Amino acid sequence: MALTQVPSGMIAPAQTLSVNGVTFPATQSASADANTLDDYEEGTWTPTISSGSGTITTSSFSGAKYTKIGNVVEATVNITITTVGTAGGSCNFTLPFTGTNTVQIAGYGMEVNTNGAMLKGNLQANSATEQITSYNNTSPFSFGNGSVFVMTSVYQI
Amino acid sequence: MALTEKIEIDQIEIVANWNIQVRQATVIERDGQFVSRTFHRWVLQPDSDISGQEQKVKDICNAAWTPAVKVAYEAFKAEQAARQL
Repeated sequence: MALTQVPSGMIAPAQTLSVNGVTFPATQSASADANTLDDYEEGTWTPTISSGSGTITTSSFSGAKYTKIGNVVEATVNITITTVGTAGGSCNFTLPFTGTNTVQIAGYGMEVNTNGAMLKGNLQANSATEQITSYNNTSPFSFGNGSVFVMTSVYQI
Repeated sequence: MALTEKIEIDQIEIVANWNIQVRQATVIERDGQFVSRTFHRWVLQPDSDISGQEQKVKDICNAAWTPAVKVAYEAFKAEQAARQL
């Protein structure tokens, strides 16, 4: 592709990308320039599922995928609480990256197997653990055995 | 034509004192030429079970999770639990 020098203050003409797309290094080369996109990565991850109090007897996850664009992460996961056990409080799970030093409402979602409740995910400052509660702050474990939480999280790192 | 698969932990980061971010890369090559690369991640915290982790991951966890860091993490968890609902 031929490159043409553009005078200062003018907008460069649109450029056509090759069929291979834009490639970033496997390890981020961080830029301090706020106008520079310095990282892209996609993959899968393994969340660790726990409860705010007590213990979950059986849980599992599926579809844990993420995309990182610059300093923003989008992550999706389905969490199944097969047997609640003594669990109470929030349903917690680890994310693929640690959040910033600011509290974020990172996640939103829905219970899809028992009562269809809307869910939200709280991410404390400097934490990699998202806390799921229902829309009205009740414990998602109150939905009973077989609950499935479909969550999407978007947060800054 | 030879296809090879290489799986390795290619990134281990300590973030915010106690979060150990681990990335595993799976690279597929055909006759030595790159075909594809995929990533899988997980985060370890001081109360994580690290018995199944690779030795280099264990070594970093054990170095990062000093007694002072573990105390700070427990305090953080207590604060987090208080804010959960």
